[in-house]
Amino acid sequence: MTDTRPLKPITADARRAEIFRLALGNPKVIAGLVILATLLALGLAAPLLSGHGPSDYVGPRAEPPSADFWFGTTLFGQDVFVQFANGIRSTYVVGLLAGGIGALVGMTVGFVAGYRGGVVDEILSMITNVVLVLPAFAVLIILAAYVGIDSVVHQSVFIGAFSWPWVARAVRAQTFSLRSREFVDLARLTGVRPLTIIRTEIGPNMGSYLLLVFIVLFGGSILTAASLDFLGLGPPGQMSLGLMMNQALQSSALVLGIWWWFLPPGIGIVLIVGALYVTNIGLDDVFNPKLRKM
Amino acid sequence: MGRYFGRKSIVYALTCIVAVTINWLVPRFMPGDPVLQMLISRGPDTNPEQTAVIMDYYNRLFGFDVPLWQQYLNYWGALFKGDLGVSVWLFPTPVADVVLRALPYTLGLLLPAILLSWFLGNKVGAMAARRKWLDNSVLPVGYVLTATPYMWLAILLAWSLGIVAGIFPTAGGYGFDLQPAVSWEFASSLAMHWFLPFLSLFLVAFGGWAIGMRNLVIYELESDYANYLAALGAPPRLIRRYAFRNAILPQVTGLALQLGVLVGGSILTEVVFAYPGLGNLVFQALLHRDFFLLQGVVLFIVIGVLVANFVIDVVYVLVDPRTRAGMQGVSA
Amino acid sequence: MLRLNRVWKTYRVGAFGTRELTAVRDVSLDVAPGEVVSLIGESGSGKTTIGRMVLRLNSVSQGRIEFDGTDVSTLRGRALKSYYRKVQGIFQDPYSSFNPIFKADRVFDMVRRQFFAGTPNATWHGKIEAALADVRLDPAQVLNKYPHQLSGGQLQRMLIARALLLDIKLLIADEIISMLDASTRIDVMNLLADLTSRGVGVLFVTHDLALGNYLSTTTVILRRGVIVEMGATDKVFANPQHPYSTHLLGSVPHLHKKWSQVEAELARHDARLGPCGYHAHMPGRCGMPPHDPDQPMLAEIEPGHVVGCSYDQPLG
Ligand SMILES: Nc1ncnc2c1ncn2[C@@H]1O[C@H](COP(=O)(O)OP(=O)(O)OP(=O)(O)O)[C@@H](O)[C@H]1O
Ligand SMILES: [Mg+2]
Repeated sequence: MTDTRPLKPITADARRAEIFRLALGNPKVIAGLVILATLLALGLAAPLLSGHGPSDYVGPRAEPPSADFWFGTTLFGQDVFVQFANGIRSTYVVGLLAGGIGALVGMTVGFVAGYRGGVVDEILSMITNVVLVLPAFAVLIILAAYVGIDSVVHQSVFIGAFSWPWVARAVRAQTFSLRSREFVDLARLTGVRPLTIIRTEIGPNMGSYLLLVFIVLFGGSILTAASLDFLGLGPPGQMSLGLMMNQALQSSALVLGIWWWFLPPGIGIVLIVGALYVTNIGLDDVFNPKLRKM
Repeated sequence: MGRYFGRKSIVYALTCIVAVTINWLVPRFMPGDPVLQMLISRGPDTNPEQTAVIMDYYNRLFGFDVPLWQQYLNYWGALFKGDLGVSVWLFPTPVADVVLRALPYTLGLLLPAILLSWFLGNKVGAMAARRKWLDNSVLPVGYVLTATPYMWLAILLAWSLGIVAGIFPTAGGYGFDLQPAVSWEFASSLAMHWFLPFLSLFLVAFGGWAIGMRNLVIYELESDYANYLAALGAPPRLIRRYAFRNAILPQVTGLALQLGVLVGGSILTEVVFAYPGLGNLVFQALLHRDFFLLQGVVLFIVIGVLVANFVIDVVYVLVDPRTRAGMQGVSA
Repeated sequence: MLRLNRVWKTYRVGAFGTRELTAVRDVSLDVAPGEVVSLIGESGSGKTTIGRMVLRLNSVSQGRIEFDGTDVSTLRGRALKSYYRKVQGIFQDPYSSFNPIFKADRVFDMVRRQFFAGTPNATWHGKIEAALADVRLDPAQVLNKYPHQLSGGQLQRMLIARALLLDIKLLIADEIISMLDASTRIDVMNLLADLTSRGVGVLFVTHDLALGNYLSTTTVILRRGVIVEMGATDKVFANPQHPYSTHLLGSVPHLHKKWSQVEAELARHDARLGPCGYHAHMPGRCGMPPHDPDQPMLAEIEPGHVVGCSYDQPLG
């Protein structure tokens, strides 16, 4: 199989370097990435932060933030900061996994439908439209309730399985227009296989767009996962920001005024998802300089 | 045009069948059969008569005494008769009744929240597209709002305006001490309980519409035809009107696509405020492991979203001159 | 070498392919080694479609395309690759023939990766330089550049050079001359002449009658997907039989004449005259498809010169 190797070093190095330079000069990209990196570091460090787990009863009950417990303790004496750090960690995992799965499925369906056209396209587009109008969250509730979610990976697969249709639509439309360009014909005349053509000719032309798509899916998956966790449908035994809110609400933290319990998880989600969106706008400015005037 | 609707109808019919089939399939083929587990786990102390009724429904739809295809057809048959089974949690109320009782609350929240957020979001977004100072506040606020989980904004509002400030009640659809009645007292209690969940739903949705509209209008204002109009000396107001008109169409499509998300948002919001709508039913059904109720509510939600989607599609075609003209052409 | 046998192409358009558009109907023609066949016709007459079918970029709806006796639509994998070693194409639009985000010389690398994986660097570079010299390009000017840094003519010639890297027997050249300035035009035409002297057959698609006349041994005149006249170039140009060809060849000097006028004149011509050149040699009534579906669509009016019915066939 000679044609499964990546193409020789004839890639757009100069262009890439230019984009990279522009991206690192864009304040939105920088701000977004700094927030994301900081929280990621916190999430990665979560297991090292303290000797106890997120659900261990380690301190006095319902204590406000203090030097010992930075974010205070829950009604049951659990360390909110440890819960938060662990929640951030699983938030990243679910976002990356579910966003990745959604992007992968959406791109595959979109590329194949757009490239092959004809009956294949009709069938794939029909499936895409069906999943698109299906209210994903309601279906996820049923699936999670019956099938059960036993791990973050499992949850990501479910979320990714319903988040791809709009990606497939957009990728299909772009593939459709790229497919009729003559450089694709030229590759075919050179005997390059369809999958290789999609990977080496069509894909790279949509590279920046695909990155933006992934970022949006990343953020959306985080919100969906938090919602499922909040309904108590998350992986059991896995601390998450949604579960923190669920437990706080169930334990009447609002009435009891334990604000340090229910504020951090929301702030964490807003920060991560907001930072993703800000990075996205910044990158959009870089990739589509036309909008930069504004 | 006929073909366009024909195609759309196929998609909706197919989606409907898929949704119903998933709803039937998932419990039926789960290892360990959670529904049966639920029924068995009710223990011997429960009313045997009650268990008998539920088992009967269960056997009809999930039982092994008839072939699989028969079970599937029975399910559809029951569905068409509006028979969603009997709620285990609220025995002996039929699930359909439970759903219908909760429905007005959810509609009362969702419809105003969706429509108002859409109209105001589009207005503010279009204004932000041409006023720098407004843009500087609309854009960040909009992005923060769209990044906010529905339940957290609800928690925040319940805590700040409800518990700390003490202005609004934070739980239920009306005062605990009241009975539904046509009276001032009841109406004002209803309105007070309605406001925070409504506001919470409205705000998150509003952020999304405002940003979407702002970006679309800017895109339209920078398009070649806007430049062309400007070069011809058209007044800016006219150009803005054209831009707005072109930008509103994707927002109509967006409304259809966002419906599922908004309904999901209302489920979460209702849970926070213990608001007696469909969302809270979902949560209670999960808590009480009442699978018939859960399935009934979710199926109802799914079909409701599909119907609303279809309505929006029809509206879209009616307002968009391009689809009217282009529908006969190549639909690539 | 190349034989099209009653080839049809119907595009499916519209939702679920509910409408059909016949771009090529019942076209038969041959290209022999060392021969230049020019395919002449107005825009939309199906020239590009024919070329693309030969190149296996579009499927054939009906009929057969044979290359050295094998049906090309049956070629798969290895066999298809070796077909492309012998049959290559150059497209109408050089700008869109290059992937804009990669350097232009990637088209050469692709050929190397697919067909010359084992060739040592030095040999390969020699081959590229020779091919570039053939199309009068300076390697320093065109290698290592992005497509937008090169002119249409340079890009077009790089595509020709790319085809020269392979051991081609047949070249499909779709409007390759229009992008070039007068001096390179001569170069490329000489190059084509050189290729034919090496036994390469060329299917030369063009609007330009003068070019067709200059280069080709055989001329095929296409109208709305149908061959209206075909034959040795000198015979067709000297003695056009079909009214469409007459107008086409006659219209070369009258650049002011609009196509709509030509069409109108054609219609008047149809109404005025009796049996056409085709029906003078064939039984049946003008304007009707032949009763016998096996009856040829073209009648031989002199050796090596065939013509179709002058009346509009009912389309569809
Ligand atoms: N992929 C396609 N799908 C549908 N119709 C097509 C497609 N490609 C070409 N056609 C149609 O087929 C007809 C013939 O097109 P073709 O490109 O072969 O013409 P042409 O003779 O090369 O014209 P030109 O001189 O303008 O290049 C046209 O009516 C065109 O619209
Ligand atoms: Mg053409």
